[in-house]
Amino acid sequence: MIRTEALAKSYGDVQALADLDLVVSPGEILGFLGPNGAGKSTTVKILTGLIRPTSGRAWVAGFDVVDTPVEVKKRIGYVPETPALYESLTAEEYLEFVACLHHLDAGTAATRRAELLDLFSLTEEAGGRLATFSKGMRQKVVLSAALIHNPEVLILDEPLDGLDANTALIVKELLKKMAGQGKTILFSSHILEVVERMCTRIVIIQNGRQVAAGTSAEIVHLTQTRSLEEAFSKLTGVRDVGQVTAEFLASLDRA
Amino acid sequence: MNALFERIGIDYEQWKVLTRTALKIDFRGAPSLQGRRPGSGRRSMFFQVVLYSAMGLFIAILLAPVRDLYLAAIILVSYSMFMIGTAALLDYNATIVSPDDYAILGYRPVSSHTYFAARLANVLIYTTAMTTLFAWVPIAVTTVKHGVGIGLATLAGVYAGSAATALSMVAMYVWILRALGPRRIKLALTYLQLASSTLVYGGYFLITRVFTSAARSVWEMHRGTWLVACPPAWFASYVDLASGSGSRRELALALLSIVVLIALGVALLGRLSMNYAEELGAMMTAGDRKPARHGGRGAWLFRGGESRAVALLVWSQFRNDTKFQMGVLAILPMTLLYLIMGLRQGETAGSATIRDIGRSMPLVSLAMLLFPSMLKSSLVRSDAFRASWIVFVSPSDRARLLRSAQNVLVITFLVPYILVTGVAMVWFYHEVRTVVLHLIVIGLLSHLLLQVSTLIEPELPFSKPIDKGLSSARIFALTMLAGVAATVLALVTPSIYGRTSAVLLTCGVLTASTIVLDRWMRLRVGREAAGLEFLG
Repeated sequence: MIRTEALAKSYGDVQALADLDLVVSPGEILGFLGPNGAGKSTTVKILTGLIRPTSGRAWVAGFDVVDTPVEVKKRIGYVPETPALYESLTAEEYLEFVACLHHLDAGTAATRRAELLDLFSLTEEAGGRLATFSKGMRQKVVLSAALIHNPEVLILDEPLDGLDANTALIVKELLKKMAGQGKTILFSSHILEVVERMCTRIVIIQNGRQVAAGTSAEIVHLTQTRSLEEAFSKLTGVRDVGQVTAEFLASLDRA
Repeated sequence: MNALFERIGIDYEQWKVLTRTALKIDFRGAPSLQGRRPGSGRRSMFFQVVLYSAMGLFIAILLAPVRDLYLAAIILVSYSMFMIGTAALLDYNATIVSPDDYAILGYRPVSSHTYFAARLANVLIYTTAMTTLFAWVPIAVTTVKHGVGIGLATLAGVYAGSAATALSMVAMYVWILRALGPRRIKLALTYLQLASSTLVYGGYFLITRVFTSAARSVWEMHRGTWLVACPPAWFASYVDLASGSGSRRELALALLSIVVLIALGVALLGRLSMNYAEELGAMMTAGDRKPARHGGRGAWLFRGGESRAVALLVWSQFRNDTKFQMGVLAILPMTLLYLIMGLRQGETAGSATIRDIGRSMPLVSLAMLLFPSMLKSSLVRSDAFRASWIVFVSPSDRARLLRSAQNVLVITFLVPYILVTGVAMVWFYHEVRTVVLHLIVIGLLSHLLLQVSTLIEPELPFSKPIDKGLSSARIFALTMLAGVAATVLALVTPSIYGRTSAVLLTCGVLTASTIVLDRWMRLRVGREAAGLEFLG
């Protein structure tokens, strides 16, 4: 389970996150939406212990992220938005490295590593250095690293980024099944269609504050729009798309 | 200004904005989660201001008794040129040959002329700043002592010498890039880095020797044709001419320095037409397709958990990341050099007694004392620092990670290095017992220094960016400190090694200190390390 209470983070005068109350229950895939700079990545970084909140509290799998960060980290699998990798390692070595950080015994680590490499069709490339991997292959390695210790909670920031259609299908199916097993999943993405199809509930944030929560249908109904896309635009303050683009093109011509 | 730049094919507006942006980025320091670390650039600048001014003060004090103005100017210009050369080799090679900026600018309408000129300007601005920081004290002292004319000549000589050094280094990089092509340039630069490190440490020794021998000869210099082969003497000749004691030879040397400066400028302007930016672009697309060399094999000593994770990472980086590899291996030529220098003193080979081993090879002791700090610096600062997010989100015990990193360094690098050095020393000394004793003391002391450096600055492996401009400054600071430590050691060891009880007591104290520091580290570093934040 993930829970936050009045979670806030500021960078000097800039309030990146304000009074965020969030609950993600076991078995749920929560779609976490917001425009660029809304505070999604800040929330995710607080939940994973990469940064500390300015105020408020957050619990992951029942543990406070500030007071007991190590307990939290034992239970989460994380896919960052822009994951850097140790490029001198091979895929196999990287997964062994992560398994060691999670204190998996050698036997379990080896078995899971083989299974994950097989799942993501990376077995043949397992001995290749990550420096030589394509963006999609690197994303597969990051997903494998997030799953190798069988975490209770998954925190995923654009997990399908760079994946080919077949692998994306596998990941979506895998996440649904993991939710079915009772895992808690926070799914942050800009691709509304995927969020709408995958997530049991959606939270939209804007300027660091929650502006809507519920199922896709509930949000559409609440905003009196016809689709999640329209609802998102309405809630996050985008002006009329047609008008904005026409104005811009006109200004280009004038210049 | 526009017209002047246009004549040599440079877009003035673009050049200005590129140069200004590069300086702004350097001043602000490395990016972090918060966008940037406020003041990190200022802090590193403050460190450099203090360090280089202190070095300048040191030189000014050293030169105070020198009556021969020309000799004083040669020493000052030599030191300044050596310092600029080192910085260009260790800190600014990326400014000239790194393709990173090309990823951002490559598809913009910036010509290779403008692009190269902006990079060149960046190097020259740093050169000027560094020269100013280093030389202001000696120049001020010279002006007060000998008048404005001599002061101005010293200033001109020092700045011209620095500029010539920087331009020569840039010309060398451009030549390497052109001669070797994109595919081999990275490897060539790596070996150049190793060679330059050797040169830096060797240079430190050489300069110390020059000062010592100069002091022995009561600061007198024989003026001969050798001055033609000594570039600092060309630039220092301005001072001799200004003092009125210069002959035709000094005039010729001054003219030679001006010709060299102009030639370098013209040569570099000529290089601007060689599609420099495109070659950098080719460096990026050449890629790194060499087969993986498995690091895991070297990690067999460490069974699991944080130790194995760190060992895996360190070994892979060592086998595949040439920068890290060279950072570690830089110690070997330096040690060899110091061993040979120790032998050249003629006091050591085959004649060592238990008393003189520390005194006769202080530079070898210096190398052994320096090694842990060099290792730690290479381990923490890396181009791969952005990948450390995985360490920050993992449930690993950070204090244990730090101690594991320290243990991996000791077991995989420090112990083998001390053993190899020991074998070489035994070969030179023919005195196994004495060498073993010395190595035990030095080994314990080295380990203690590694612990102290971890206590002062606990950092996770490969988690911090490489600070531009600080590598050479750190090396200078480290070399000076280790030099002091080695000198103290050379003075103290005869009384320690003279008595078995003193040796036992020293080893006992060092071991006890190691244990106490280890306990302290568990407590303090754990707390400190828990507060570390990801900088990617």
